[in-house]
Amino acid sequence: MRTIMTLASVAALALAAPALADKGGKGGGGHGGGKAAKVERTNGGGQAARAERRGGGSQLRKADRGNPGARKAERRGGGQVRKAERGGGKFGKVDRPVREAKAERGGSQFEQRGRKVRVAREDRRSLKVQRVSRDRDWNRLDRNRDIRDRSERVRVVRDERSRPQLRYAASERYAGGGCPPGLAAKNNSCLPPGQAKKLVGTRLPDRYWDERPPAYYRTWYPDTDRYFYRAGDGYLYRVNRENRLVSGFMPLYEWDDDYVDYYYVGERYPIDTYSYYNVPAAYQPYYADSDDYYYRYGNGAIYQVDRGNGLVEAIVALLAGDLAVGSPLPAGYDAYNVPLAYRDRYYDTPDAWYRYNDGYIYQVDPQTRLIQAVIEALV
Amino acid sequence: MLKRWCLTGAAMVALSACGGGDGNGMNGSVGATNAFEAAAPAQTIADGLKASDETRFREAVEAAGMTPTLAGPGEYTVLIPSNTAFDGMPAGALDGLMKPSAREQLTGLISYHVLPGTILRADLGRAIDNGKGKAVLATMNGATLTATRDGDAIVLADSAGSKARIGPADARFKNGVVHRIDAVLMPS
Repeated sequence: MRTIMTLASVAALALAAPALADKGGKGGGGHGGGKAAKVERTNGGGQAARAERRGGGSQLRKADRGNPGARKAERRGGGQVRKAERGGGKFGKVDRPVREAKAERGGSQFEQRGRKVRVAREDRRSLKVQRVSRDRDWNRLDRNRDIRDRSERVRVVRDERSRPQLRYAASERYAGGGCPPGLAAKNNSCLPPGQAKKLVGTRLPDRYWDERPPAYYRTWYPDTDRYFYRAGDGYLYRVNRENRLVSGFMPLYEWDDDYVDYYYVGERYPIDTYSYYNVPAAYQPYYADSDDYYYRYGNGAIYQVDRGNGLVEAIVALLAGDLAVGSPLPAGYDAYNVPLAYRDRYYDTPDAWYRYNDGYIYQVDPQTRLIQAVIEALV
Repeated sequence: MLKRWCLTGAAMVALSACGGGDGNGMNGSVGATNAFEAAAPAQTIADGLKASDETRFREAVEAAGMTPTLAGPGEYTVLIPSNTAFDGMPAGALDGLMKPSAREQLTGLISYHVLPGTILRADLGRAIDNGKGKAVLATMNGATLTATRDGDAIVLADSAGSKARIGPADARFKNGVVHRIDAVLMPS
């Protein structure tokens, strides 16, 4: 249940804040800025941005932004909505045990989630990116692998038009070699990260070949000459096109309907687990790894992560993940929001609306309110 | 109140825009949009914030490590509560949020004041009118705001129903636009 944070409760938080200090080794951190990332751009025709990582395991990375026009109407919705481990409301969520307790609630929670998502879809898009689990929670997940809950649990997924559906996750997936029931029942990523990590360097399992990522991930991570992407068991896998080996993975960060659970400055980003450069393509020209910092996507933002200690040093970009081709326009996008420099080209008419989100301009059908196409990448 | 942001916007057109009012800006009016394009300044929102009088919000953004966000490509619409607005918070609330232990909450608060894309005051007014009196606005926090009219003013309500009135609006920057508001909005 959503906790409404009042001003008074902010005050209460303020009073309680000292007691929370340095929990889990957090709290240090610094401010934004830091050494600028070295970026090498290529121009022309929406071509690739090339970023060179330095330091440990340096590798050449090429971000193929492609021809923006070619993106039109190619990215269909779909994908899954998975449960994040959440505490109470954003401001009430200061107690980790509460968060974990909520994750254990089981069946009734699924009903609640389904209802919440449906309500949210009616009210506004409002499925929001949430962290699937922080690294400290993975140990707990691993322990829970022994949990055997054979009851069928439902999981909210999005179909090709991003409409929420309920799917019986455990029976459906486990039979096919997917989620162990204990993990699926908890709506967490059903494969522990340690297991998923073992796939790196191996051939992508057959069961993932047809699992295209959710629509907004496809926008963020378009297939390139070098890589393509597949989803499976709670993760996004980057696959080397040449040898078909998995070259990186990251969680499919979860969506929910109330808030985004960002990593915050001073918190540890799970860089050891998710080690590959995963900045969405449109932002790669701006955020390339440097001698001092990694740049990584996670949970609705791009983070500057200190190479030395793995802590989030700054939040360098916020991503809403709200719009995707084939999905209905969320109510939160009633207002025209196209950047000023593009308004002479993309202005609302009776036949087409235009909305901006995460570096792209989308075309919307005013009658159906369906997002029809990505028409321009701006960053 | 408005002079600082307008000057920080470093554009004469921004000066004229900062008075508020439902100007033109979209929806078929190409001439008007060209005017907006010409007005786009070279500074980022972070630059403007750094030079502004709104020290409380700036300090909060810095403490949350989000200054690079407002210096990045954007685009964002940032609602900046005035210092007076922060003064209206319960005693000790802001100080508590500024502590390292409350960074998660502070990040949530800041991101609630950041909206995707560039939404001018006129865009809000039009969305309210088209929405029969209200418009729902997505924020980067994930929670929404509801915009309504109160006479000539535009009022934003958070999920708890607390309201903030948009004051000086449409300060334009390279990576978005800034509106000043007279209260701090609270996410759920």
